[in-house]
Amino acid sequence: MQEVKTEEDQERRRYTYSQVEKNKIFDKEFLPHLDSMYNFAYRLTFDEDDSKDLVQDTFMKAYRFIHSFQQGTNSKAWLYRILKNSFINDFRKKSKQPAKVDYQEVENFYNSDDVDEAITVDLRIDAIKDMIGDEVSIALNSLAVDFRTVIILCDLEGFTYEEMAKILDIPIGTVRSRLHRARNLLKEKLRSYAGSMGYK
Amino acid sequence: MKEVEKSDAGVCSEFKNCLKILHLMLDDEASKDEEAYLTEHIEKCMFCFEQYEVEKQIRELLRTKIAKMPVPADLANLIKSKISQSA
Repeated sequence: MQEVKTEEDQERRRYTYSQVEKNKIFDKEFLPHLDSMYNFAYRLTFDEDDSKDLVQDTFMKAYRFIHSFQQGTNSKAWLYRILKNSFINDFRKKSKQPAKVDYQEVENFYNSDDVDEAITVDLRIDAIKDMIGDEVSIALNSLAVDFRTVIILCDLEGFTYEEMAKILDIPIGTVRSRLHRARNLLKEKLRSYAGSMGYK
Repeated sequence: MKEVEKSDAGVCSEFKNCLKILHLMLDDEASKDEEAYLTEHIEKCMFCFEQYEVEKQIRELLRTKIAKMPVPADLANLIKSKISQSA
């Protein structure tokens, strides 16, 4: 099984737990994240059934690989990483979504220390203050999944750059540059809403 | 690629650096020095102050205005029963 190999390659250390300990970890450290995991899955798939499948799959894998989880450590980041990998490896392949641009490749090409393009989107504070939420939600959902993901992880879930780097398996510099681009794209979307609301 | 765009508040010559720090600061990733620099800077630079407020507000909108999906009531039990079957 390919997926077992990948997971085990990445998590070399093994922890031995009794059946009782396993169940305790699962109930106390994994299940409390069900709510935010489901919401993350929904923001990736936009489908309730798919989200349910993805979350179930994630928890099954978490249980199966519980020996690579160290009790008391960052279970949320660990679970998010499994969910994100399941989404990419299993789910995206099955779905009929057309192939998207490989942003990783684009980033590698452009990446240097100079990640911060000084492009500003001229969006005014009073325009944003009048937004009620739908605009933000629609704007976020319209971003390509790689950009959407970093904003969800950072702003909605409050992960640090370091945690995001681990969840996404990318260097911190890439987290920063991807986030920067994502925020610019989001701002552009919001500006076009602001324009349609009569702000200039 | 344009370096900066026009604004009523004028343009900041340090904007590239300010923007970088501004994002780090709002993401809670800036160093003490960076934070001190920007805090002082936006007191006198209207252009950067506006950018700071806009970025702060967008994060606030994302945090507070995005509706949460209710988790299906049966999901937790479904997962637990699958686990006990596999164990």
